[in-house]
Amino acid sequence: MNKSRKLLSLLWKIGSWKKMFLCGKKSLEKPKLELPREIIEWEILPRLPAKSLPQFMCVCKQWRSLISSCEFTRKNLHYLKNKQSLTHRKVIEIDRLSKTFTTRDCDDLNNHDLTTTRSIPFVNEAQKVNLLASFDGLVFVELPYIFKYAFWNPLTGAYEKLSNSPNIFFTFGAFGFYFDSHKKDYKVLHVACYGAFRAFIYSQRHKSTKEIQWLERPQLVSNSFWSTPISLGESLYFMVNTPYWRYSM
Amino acid sequence: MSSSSSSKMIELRSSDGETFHVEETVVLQSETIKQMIDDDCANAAIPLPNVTSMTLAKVIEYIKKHAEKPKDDDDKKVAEEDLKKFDAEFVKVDQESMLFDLVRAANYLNIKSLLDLTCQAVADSIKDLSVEEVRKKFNIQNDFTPEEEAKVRKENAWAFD
Repeated sequence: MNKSRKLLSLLWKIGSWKKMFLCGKKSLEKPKLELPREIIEWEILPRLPAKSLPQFMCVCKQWRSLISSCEFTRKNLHYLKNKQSLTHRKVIEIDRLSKTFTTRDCDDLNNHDLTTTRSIPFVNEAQKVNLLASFDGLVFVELPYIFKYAFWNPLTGAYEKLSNSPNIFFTFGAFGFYFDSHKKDYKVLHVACYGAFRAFIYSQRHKSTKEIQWLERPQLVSNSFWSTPISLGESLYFMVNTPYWRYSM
Repeated sequence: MSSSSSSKMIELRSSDGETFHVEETVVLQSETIKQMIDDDCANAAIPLPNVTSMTLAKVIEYIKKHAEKPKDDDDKKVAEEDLKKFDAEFVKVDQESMLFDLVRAANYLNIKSLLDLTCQAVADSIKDLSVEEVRKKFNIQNDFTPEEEAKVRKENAWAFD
């Protein structure tokens, strides 16, 4: 072991000496070392903490559109989560009149230094927005006037509308936001339990909606009240309140 | 774990012609080399035209350390801590060009844990830089007009304090 280490350090020295020699011989002006663009954009930038990203949107046009893309957000959140540095808890308030949203720091709600107010990016298109669920800094919203759901990253302004949102009538119900670690995708489970009982899964990666059949006898829980779920690991736990008269049937 | 004497040795040749002998079990951490071995292309020295001897020596130091197997569970905890320390020291290189070289080598050799480690080190080194400093570091041309840049800065003004 020691021997190989010695050998390695010797080779290391020869290597560095040789490199210096070669550089000196070729030209005194060392070429500027660069990293390939795809490494910078897909391996380094997504590992940056949330706070650096809005600033770095000002570096160039390519970085701006990259950082505001939903694919980038997903990668960024993946790394941040592994580093367990998602430590800032924020509350979002929507102001419908001025079409802005305000974020406040949960630990210090009245600290105005930590409070920011910005315009809602999709408000011109959607006119109105309802917040339905949030997870890891992503927010799932309803855009009621254009009958769409969207995933929104308030930090970078990135948002992606779902291609086939179900009829808005189903908005009643419970929304559970979770991370599918197998598919590496942020998903929302929507239990629409008013009238007909149906359940949908919305995918951030595919920007799509899928209806799922998951209960054998859905009539037993239709017209029931489903609480906001608690997410534990990869499971969502709902409290279900079935109206009394159901039992007498 | 087989003893080192019985393990097959693989010969690697750097861009500047230096050769290195590394145990096969160690070098398999590189997906690129693993593929070459699987395809039976590793009978002679494997040429690595994109990696200098200086960088390759560092990479070998890394994969050797990461190939060490702990004997038992107690040893495992100590080894994990030890590896963490090693990783932290490993990316503390004097010159930034060395770190960039390592990123490129990890990418080319497809060693995921080394790519993770070195890219995170680059990310940590730029996270507090100003926009101008980042442009300079990565040699990026500012293609915003002054008006456009002012607008983007205004939109994201809350992140600059």
